[in-house]
Amino acid sequence: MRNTFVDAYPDQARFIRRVFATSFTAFAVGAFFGLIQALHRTDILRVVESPTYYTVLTGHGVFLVLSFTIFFLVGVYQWAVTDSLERRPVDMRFTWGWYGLMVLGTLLAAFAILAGFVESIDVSANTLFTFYAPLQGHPIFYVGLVLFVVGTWLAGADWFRSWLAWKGEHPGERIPLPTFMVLTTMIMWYISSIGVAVAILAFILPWSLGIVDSINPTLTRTLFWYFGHPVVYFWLLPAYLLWYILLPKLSGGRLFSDPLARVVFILFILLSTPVGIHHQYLDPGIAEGFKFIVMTNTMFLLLPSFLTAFTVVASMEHGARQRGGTGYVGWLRALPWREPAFTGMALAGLVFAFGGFTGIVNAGMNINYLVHNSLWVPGHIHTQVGTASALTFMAGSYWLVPQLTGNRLVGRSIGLVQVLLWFIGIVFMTNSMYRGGLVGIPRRTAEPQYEGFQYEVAAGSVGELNAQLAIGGILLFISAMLFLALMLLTLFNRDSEPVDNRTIPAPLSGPEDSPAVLDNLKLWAAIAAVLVLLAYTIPLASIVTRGGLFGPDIGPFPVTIEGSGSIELVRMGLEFALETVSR
Amino acid sequence: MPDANIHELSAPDHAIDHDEFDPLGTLTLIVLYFLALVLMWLFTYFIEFLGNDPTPLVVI
Amino acid sequence: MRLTLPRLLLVIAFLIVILVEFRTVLGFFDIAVPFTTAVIVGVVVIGALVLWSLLSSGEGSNE
Ligand code: HEM
Ligand SMILES: [Cu+2]
Repeated sequence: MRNTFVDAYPDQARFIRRVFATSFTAFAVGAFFGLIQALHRTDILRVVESPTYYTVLTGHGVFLVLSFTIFFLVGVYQWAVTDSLERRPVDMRFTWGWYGLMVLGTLLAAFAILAGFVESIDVSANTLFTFYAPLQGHPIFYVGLVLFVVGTWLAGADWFRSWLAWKGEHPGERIPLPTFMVLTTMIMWYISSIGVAVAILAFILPWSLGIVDSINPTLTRTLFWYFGHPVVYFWLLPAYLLWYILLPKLSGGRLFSDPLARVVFILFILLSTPVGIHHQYLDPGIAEGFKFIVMTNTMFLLLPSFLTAFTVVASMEHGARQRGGTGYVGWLRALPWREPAFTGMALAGLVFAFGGFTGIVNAGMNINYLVHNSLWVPGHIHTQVGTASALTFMAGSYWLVPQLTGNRLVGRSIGLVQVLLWFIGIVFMTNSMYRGGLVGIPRRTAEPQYEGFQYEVAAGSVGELNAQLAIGGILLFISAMLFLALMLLTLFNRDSEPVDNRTIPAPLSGPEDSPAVLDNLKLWAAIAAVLVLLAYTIPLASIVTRGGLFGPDIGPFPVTIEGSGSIELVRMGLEFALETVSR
Repeated sequence: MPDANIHELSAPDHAIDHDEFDPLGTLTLIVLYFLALVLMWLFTYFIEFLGNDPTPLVVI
Repeated sequence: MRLTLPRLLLVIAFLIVILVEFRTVLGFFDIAVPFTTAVIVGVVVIGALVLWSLLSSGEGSNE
């Protein structure tokens, strides 16, 4: 008897297929924008005017790190909760409801961004995905973001509801690991997304609507980063879930330790929020002491990642040994490298491990000066969310989508080529970005070329770095399109059957070996809240006392492009700078 | 090579349970990784970071 | 084939990656490998690998 996910839960499979389709659409658009950027910055091909570059870049950021990743997350989490609790949501209409809200929010935000390309529509939001004040976008953009986030909150409520219903039927049982991961992620998300909600609803939205006419940029930035660091775990934890749950199975083994996995997710609840200020090491108006505390917290965050590296690799090794692997490193040969689902995830993990190093550099309060706001940072972004998450999601889809459609994966070998291309592309692109960043090439710049000045590139030249970046970007784009094509073909590959079934082997060491307090979610949430208060009360209070809630009279700097494009933009920038200085 | 498209998922030759499994291979990889991290960090800190000249003072 | 096709592809991917990163490491030690040299080394090494895996065909194939 065939036993795939779609056989067991047809309506859930249909729902998750819809969610994935949304996610992949955002991925397609975002990847295309990435290609435009890679060619534009390097002056190889400039299809848009340089001021329009920032519209593209805003789209790239928002569509990839908000829409693509978070829609994929809700899809995977819906699968994980359904499959591990073995039950459907309490009320499926509610489930469709939050999905609808997320889609509506995305469409509104996307409209505001994309309208920036059309001169006849007087709407734009060229604020980049961090929307720092005083950059100002159209209110529709912020409304869209808020609806999207509220949608994710309701999704979390839905999963908690399923769990409570399950708990009623299974008194005294441990929370199944996948559901445990979902619930802990959502607790982290609730604690952290309050920051961005307050920033938008209390300050930025009223200001963009003209209800208040000033803003305190340090305050909204700090609130943004209060959310901005945990959000990276929101991208990463679904990848972790796939590494812990799916990768051991794909390797032919079992998860090494269930309790260790629980500890890791709890550490993320506790530590991911009180660190956000590490993105603001160079911000004036925040005392060095707070920055130092935050640096210490950040270094503690390495712990769950190292634990993960150990558990996941040990699970792979278990698989390899069961498949006959031997030796200290020879066992690696026994792994199923021909499976794109396996190889993609393994490579994503490898890139993550080495990209993690660049994170340690970013996190050092002094060494951060070396790389701050340079091209190094997008290098880091693309090894982490752009590969650890994105490549894991693609690889996971090679296993999940057959489960969700009941169709066999089309083109498994092409899938292998696809994940390898991503691996090569990302190394080309990020290697160039890191090296460029070290010599001072700025990020977020349409034309990083200056007269009467030359970068001192250690080996080679800027021209060569550019070529390497562009080649990498092109390979990534081709890889993304290959992936989407395979997904589409698999969707229509009717009259075929997936090769695998939906069962996940039990961990080598199960939850019964661990203390029950690990499952006490209320306790962890409470401790996390205390840590957040400790880390943020004083900095926020001092920012507000210095600059006022609504700031020292900072007016908007709308990044709409009027009239003669770049000249106008420069003029507005200068005027703004002069005004600020003369105040 | 034809795309036979047959998955060879989770087909262990023999089962290994918790007691007879020592993740020595994992340990090897982690030690190597740790060494790489330390070397990269020393390099970045002492050569790239401390080795840079102060920002030049340009007066225009 | 000495290596199955998937493994060959995997090894090629790793070779390219190692080449790119190794060149960077050498650069840090002030050994500048010109772009063209790196490309030529890559083509030669990968070409040799492909030839080796194709020519030494026969029994070794486990596919
Ligand atoms: C399809 C392949 C991709 C290409 C060619 C590409 C290219 C680029 C380039 C060149 C930049 C730097 C722009 C600048 O600073 O001026 C950039 C920024 C960025 N990329 Fe990508 N990218 C790709 C995929 C991704 C993926 C998959 C993600 C995440 C899931 C991602 C997330 C980001 C983010 C967050 C930024 C920073 C945006 C900002 O500074 O506001 N990219 N990308
Ligand atoms: Cu961070």
